[in-house]
Amino acid sequence: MAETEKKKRQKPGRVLANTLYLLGMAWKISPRFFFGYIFDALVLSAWSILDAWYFKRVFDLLDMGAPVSEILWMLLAVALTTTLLLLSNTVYWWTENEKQKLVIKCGLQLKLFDHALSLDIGKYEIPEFYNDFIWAVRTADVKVCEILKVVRNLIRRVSSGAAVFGILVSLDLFTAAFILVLTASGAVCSTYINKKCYAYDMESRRSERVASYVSRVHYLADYAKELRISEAGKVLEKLYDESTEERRGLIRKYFGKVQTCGAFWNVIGAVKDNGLILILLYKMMVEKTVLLGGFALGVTSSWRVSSALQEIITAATELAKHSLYIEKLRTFFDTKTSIEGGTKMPERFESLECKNISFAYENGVEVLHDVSLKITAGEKIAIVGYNGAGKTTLIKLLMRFYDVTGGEILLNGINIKEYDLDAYRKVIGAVFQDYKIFAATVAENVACGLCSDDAREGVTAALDAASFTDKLQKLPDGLDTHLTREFSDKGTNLSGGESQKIAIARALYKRAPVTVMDEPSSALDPVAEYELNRHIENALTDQTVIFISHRLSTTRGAARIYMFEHGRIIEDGSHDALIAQNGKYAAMFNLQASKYRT
Amino acid sequence: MTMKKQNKEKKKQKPKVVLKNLLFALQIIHRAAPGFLLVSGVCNLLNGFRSALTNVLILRYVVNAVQTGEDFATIAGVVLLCFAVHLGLNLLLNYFSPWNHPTVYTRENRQKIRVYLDKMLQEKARALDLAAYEDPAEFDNYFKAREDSLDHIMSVYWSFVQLSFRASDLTTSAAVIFSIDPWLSLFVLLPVISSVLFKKSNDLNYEGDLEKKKCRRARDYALRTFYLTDFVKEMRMGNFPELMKWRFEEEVEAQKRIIRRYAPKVATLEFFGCFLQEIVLNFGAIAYTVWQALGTGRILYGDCLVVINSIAGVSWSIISLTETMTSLLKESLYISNIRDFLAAKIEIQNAPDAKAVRRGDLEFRHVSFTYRGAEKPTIQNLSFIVHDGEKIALVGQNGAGKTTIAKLMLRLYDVTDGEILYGGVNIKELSLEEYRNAFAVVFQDFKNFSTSVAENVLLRPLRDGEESAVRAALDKAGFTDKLNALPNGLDTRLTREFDDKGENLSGGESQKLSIARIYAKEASIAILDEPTSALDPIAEYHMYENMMDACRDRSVVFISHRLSSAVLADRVILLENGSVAESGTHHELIERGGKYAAMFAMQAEKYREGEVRADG
Repeated sequence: MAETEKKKRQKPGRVLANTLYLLGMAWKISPRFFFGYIFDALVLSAWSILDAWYFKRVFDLLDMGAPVSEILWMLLAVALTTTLLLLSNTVYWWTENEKQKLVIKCGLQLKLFDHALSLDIGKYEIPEFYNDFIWAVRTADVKVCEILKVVRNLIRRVSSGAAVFGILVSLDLFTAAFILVLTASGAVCSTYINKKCYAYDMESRRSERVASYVSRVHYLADYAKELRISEAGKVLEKLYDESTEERRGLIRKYFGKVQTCGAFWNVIGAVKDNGLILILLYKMMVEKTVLLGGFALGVTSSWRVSSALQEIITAATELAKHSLYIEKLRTFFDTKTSIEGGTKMPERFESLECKNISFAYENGVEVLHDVSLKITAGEKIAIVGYNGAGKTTLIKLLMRFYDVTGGEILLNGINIKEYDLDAYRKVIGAVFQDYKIFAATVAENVACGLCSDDAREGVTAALDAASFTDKLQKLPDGLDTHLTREFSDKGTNLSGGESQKIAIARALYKRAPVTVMDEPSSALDPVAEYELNRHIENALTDQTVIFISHRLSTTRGAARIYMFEHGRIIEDGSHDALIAQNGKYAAMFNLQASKYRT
Repeated sequence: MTMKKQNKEKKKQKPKVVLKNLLFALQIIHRAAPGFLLVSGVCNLLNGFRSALTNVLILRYVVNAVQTGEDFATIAGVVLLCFAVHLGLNLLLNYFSPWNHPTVYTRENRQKIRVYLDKMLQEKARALDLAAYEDPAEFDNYFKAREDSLDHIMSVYWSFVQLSFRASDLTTSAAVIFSIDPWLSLFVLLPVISSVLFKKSNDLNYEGDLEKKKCRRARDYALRTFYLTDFVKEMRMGNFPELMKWRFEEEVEAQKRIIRRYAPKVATLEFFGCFLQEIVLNFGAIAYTVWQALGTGRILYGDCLVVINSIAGVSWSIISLTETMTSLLKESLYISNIRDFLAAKIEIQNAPDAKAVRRGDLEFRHVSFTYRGAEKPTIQNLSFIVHDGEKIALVGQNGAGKTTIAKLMLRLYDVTDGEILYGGVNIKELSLEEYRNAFAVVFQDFKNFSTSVAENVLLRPLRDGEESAVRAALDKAGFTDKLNALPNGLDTRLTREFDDKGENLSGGESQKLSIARIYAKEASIAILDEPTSALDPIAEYHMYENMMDACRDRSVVFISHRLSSAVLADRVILLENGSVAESGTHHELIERGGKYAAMFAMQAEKYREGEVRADG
């Protein structure tokens, strides 16, 4: 995510530590990749050193009047060595590197995968954590390669640059110093230029966002109607013009400085190129301390020194930028779940009880206060209330996606924290309000995992109970039909109602001791809703079920109804008792029913 | 040498079309930023000359002069002269067309081009028929046209710059090399062979990438299942994680197999390509020159230096020229998207002699309508009248055509058959803008814009002295409590699109805001399409009451599948398959005991049972 890349200066030590951390990780995933990468960088570096050396040698030999055969033999030897270097580079690059890159990327992703699963849901709901987490995961594969590339280029350029500089020093100290000083001042200029360009990018970011927002709105179908029947276009134009104006000011401010510095940089460049020729010419003709080869090397290879210097600067800024990323990655791996399982295994289900529980999210706002309720084997209860009353939170607590902040939840009289986490979660089957269909086969979707041959019968039965059979028979590959088009365009996309049936079939297949139905018919039109509810009722006749809904028509059949308001149970009892009590439940029911009374 | 080349689009385009597209791009640049092309072109011709001067001409002169025994002072004088030219050109180019960093001149012109292009595209998008948005294929094209349009235009600009640079740089260097020894040009042509090999390897790579795409897609999906909040609960309840991991690893293996299949071929092609270019060309040309220099003496040492130093560069320049050409071909495709978009025909426009709008009844007369590409008509021979000031409820199941009717009313589409009359005149004959202005609408999928609350209510810039009217409209919509809680009241910016302090409204709040649009606009007809889907029952009830009160002298058309709202309307029209199935007041229709009555009974069933039991 872009905004996470905001400039936060990191200390060089930290950058180094982070880079080493990532390299260490790459090393652990594939040492082979690591060696290969460094080997390749050294091959390339050797190549360019050889290039510079023979260049000088050819002209020295010419200058000394060596016989033509000696020069040609030398050229042949260099050509053969270069061919070997080229061969090892191409072979490595197109076979080993391609494969190992994949191994590194995917290895890192799998690590992230495992760690993400070990985290509790609460972590996903802390926006700062989640944003960083998403960023860390989504870009992991690209980032790890980018970082390794920086390191590789650094090794390559710096080693060859240093070697060429060494040759220059041995040739003539003054020339080498001249190159170094001018190259360094050029680097100072380009660092300043980069800094200003970066500052411009940062400061113009908001206005860029405005402009791209205005453009985007124009091609989003969602806004098309509004734009045609109102003058909203003028509002957008105003926004756009303001953003253009803002950017114009920024361009003057930043690029004015950039071009002034650019002028210095250009002067330095011209001085360096021509000055070098003059100095070497003087050394060659007047002082006679330099041969033609030295002259040729000096005037043509000084760029290798500057590119080494440039690479160090680039690498430093790049690594500082990537270091922020690694920081997030480390934070992510260092974050541990706060929900730990116990060792007890659940026995036959007797009851599930909330005893004076309260709960606050990370931000400290308490959303459930002193809630007590109990469900025993075979019972059906309902939890009702308006949106935001705390119904869904309660369910998440029952599934131990979070731990209560006060009170306790008991399974068969024992605190649920004492049970093994996975085993405990198997006690509860749920149809979530926001269920998800996975890009997998129908059978796998119902079985919630790989579906063995023995399991198919159960899956078919569950689908039948969820009244999916008609649709199942129409599917091209029956239970093995692929759902969603994530993988292939031949996948089947189910309608909302059909998907909901799959979600219900999951709960029916699991036959967990307790089933939770969270707004199972929310998105359907009245006719479909009515039918679906009937099916659910039939399929769950002897089960222990918790219904959750804000549509009171759905829940009236429950043995006991708990009415929630602002995180508290304000009324409870059977439908009839609650109506007789004539409190808030009765008022809510009557309000919902009033429109239908004629 | 190991550079990955961009995969090329593989579509044949006629040269004439390509030329037209490129000219179109240049024309846009020229119109948006007059003089920019000329300045950049001239600058880069000079730039190319500068490059040849420092890399080839001066070095050749110096070394040759040394060899032929010229004295130091003369040579140094020439070098100083060259320095002066070099410095002058550097400073000139620094302000107008630098290679290494942006300047005020280039950035300002780029901005001009961008604004020109954006405005042109936006204007066109606003005028486009709504139907264009609903045809996926067509819309996809428009989307493509807009996406990165600036980058594509600028890429033509950069190619232009590059060509002018090469025009002087390459010709100078090539001419020098040719003048040294014409046989050397044979070496320069070697890259032509290697570029054939590279193209082959490129194609293979592209093919491999296509095969890998499927794996990558599956892998990305598996990844998403564990980091997206949507999946987080399911991933902790069943055995989905194993399933997904298994799939992930399978795809990794599949991808490795693909790599193994392609790698040997690609590596071989790349090796021989590089071998020709880096070894045969370089060492061949050098050996030849050295041999000539020592053997015949016809070639001087300075010439050798030029050959060794530049021959690879010249051949590289030739390859990069062909790459520029291919990239222009690719850009041409994108630009033709932009051209198509700008040339798209617009059906719904003002009639040539548009009539003024006069308030009156709105009548559908035997209207039929079929969506583009649909087989069956959505609306069939539909006739009804909304009398001035009447409140109509359009009800029916999903897919009965309710929302389509609203769109036809607003002339977002034209009817396929029949006619719609307003105040007795066919709406096609009325001034489009004025006609649409007669309506105030709350769409089912209403949207908030990233601008102030006030402008979101008015859907136009706020004028002085309008604050109180906006406040009153928001009050009627039940938004006052929220308004008072907003940091900057009516000026509060909505959404966080680009303002981190922007206000994100909840579903119910934004629905109230969109309802306020009706109150704020003095329109003679209000259309409300499922206006209460995000409101709770109490808010829904108040909304309908207020609406009836506020729109006493206007026509109102409610669209809903929740029949409870129909009770309040003057007349209910039940739609089925795009025509009127029943019509009358709520009570009439209930008494008639038809489809409406049945639907109503079904929705009311559970509630009614409750009533009986509670009473009994």
